Amino acid sequence: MCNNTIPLVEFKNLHWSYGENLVLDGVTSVINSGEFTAIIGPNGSGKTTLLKHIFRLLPIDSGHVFLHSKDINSYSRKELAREAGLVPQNEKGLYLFTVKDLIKMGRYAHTGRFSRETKHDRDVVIESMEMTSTLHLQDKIITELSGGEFQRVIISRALAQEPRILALDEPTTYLDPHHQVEILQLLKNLISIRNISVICTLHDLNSTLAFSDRTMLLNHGRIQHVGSPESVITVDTIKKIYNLNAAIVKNPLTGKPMVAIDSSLKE
Amino acid sequence: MKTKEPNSYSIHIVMYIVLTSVLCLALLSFLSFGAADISLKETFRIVMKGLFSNSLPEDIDKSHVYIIWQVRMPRVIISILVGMALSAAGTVFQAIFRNPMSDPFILGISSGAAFGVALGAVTGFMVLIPGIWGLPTSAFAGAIIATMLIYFLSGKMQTSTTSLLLSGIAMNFFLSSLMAMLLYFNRDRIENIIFWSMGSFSSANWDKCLAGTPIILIGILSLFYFRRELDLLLIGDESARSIGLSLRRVRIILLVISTLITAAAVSISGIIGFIGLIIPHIIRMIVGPKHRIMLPYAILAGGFFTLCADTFARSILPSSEIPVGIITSLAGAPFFIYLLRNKKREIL
Repeated sequence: MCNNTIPLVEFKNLHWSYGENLVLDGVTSVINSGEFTAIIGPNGSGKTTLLKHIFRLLPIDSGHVFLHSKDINSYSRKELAREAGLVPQNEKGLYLFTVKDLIKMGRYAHTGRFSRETKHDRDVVIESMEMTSTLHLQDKIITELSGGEFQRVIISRALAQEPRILALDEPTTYLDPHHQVEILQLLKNLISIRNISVICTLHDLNSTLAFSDRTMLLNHGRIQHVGSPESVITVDTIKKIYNLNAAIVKNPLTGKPMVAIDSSLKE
Repeated sequence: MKTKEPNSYSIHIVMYIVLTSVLCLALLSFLSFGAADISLKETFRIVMKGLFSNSLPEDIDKSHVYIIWQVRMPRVIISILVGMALSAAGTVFQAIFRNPMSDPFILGISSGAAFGVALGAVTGFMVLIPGIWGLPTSAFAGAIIATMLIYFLSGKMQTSTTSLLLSGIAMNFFLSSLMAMLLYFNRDRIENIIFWSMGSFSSANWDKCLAGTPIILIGILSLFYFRRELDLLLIGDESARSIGLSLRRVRIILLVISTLITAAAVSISGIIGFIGLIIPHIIRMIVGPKHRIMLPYAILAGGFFTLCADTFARSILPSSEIPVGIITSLAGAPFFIYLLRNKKREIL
């Protein structure tokens, strides 16, 4: 990518607490455009909270979030939605919309109240469905979908926003291995096809090693390491952050590094 | 790739027209029901003459003309309007609280409006406001306070079905006892209010019709302006905001509109329960939750259901009538229990 030097998202000394609980404790970091950025860290380390701050879903206690070097507070909700699409973890899908109607909602920020749906709107929706292979599901009711299908539909809705950033909150946590690879591969492809940037919270260290360009490790609301996945995910950090004995080995199929974990919890 | 959308939407338009015609026909025929024996044919003639010419033929009974135009006509129109209002308000409350159990009656908002009216009548506040507007204003004041309380209570506890229902039940109890107390200390003035609070169209007249119609019609029409926002409310707060919805602003505007509609309905007819719960549910099951499509159906069906319920209420007993609220509750309560027991109750 030619514009790697311009920061896409910038966190400056970001603090956020939930009641007495300090969730983000001075996060300062930069997310570059055109990359697959993975945010990893133990449960409760602040991954999801950090992601939500890109969308101004939480009020900032102190610090700043910049998007394209502009303060996040200076964007309207619709402007923000045209810049970044979110695939949240907690959407339950408890509604009877059809797949197509749900994906069309992604066009909300692009269409005026009285303007009719344009050809461009329809094309974007169909293209979004094609990219996530959900076109054949378009007339199905959401409650009829499997977990993997629903995840792809939500990604499709975010793509219909024509965002420059796609942010996903643990998109693979509840999926079987095949669907995990399918979703991550899709994200990887989107970066090259649509020229968008992906920010994704993940739990699985091997997926992070295999797919991310840049990895951000959070612990106790602070950034511990940032860099290439190989430089962040090491035997030492796994021991220190997750308290697990591990080894980094070479994946015999891809040749990339992968984590082997000692299943006994001995010190 | 051709899309089928415009086509399927025109089917709905045809359906709206058909249903509106059915509603008008039902309105006309139900005018002939009631204590005075007026045949369907005579009813039609009286209505047509009244609409299209000033002179009346000799063979039509003058008292029948009075009954049709001054007693029954405002009543059937009001019952349709109130049904439309309650069904539309229920649809919106269900979207705002993202909860299928929401309805102006269950949430205690109707009770709030009724309490406002009772308080207005007892304190004399209602007399301060000129003409026909005293009643709706008192109702709105009561309803908006109940709505605010529910909104903040449910916000604190997150909008789980249980917490929302509990705050609604608490609200209903609280307001009912306040109202009972008010009535107890003002026994002399209040007999009308007791009957009215049970939900009835028996006191319908053109004045009430005139006071309620503009608020209800403007309120209902303005909901279509927010059809996409209503859809977005159903998918959840964070998802909706990330798609571009200014959540808090839209929620408050819609709460005010639907509270206004509810208050207008209650000020005309008292508390009529369950219409706002049943009708939107049934319509959503049939045509899906998309508001652009389901709202007109819900409004038409609400009007039709209430018209039928009221016609039944005033013609089932030969000499007297039963409050229509009893009929709708008889139909609504079992449906409510069915929803509570149904595993899919969280699905909108």
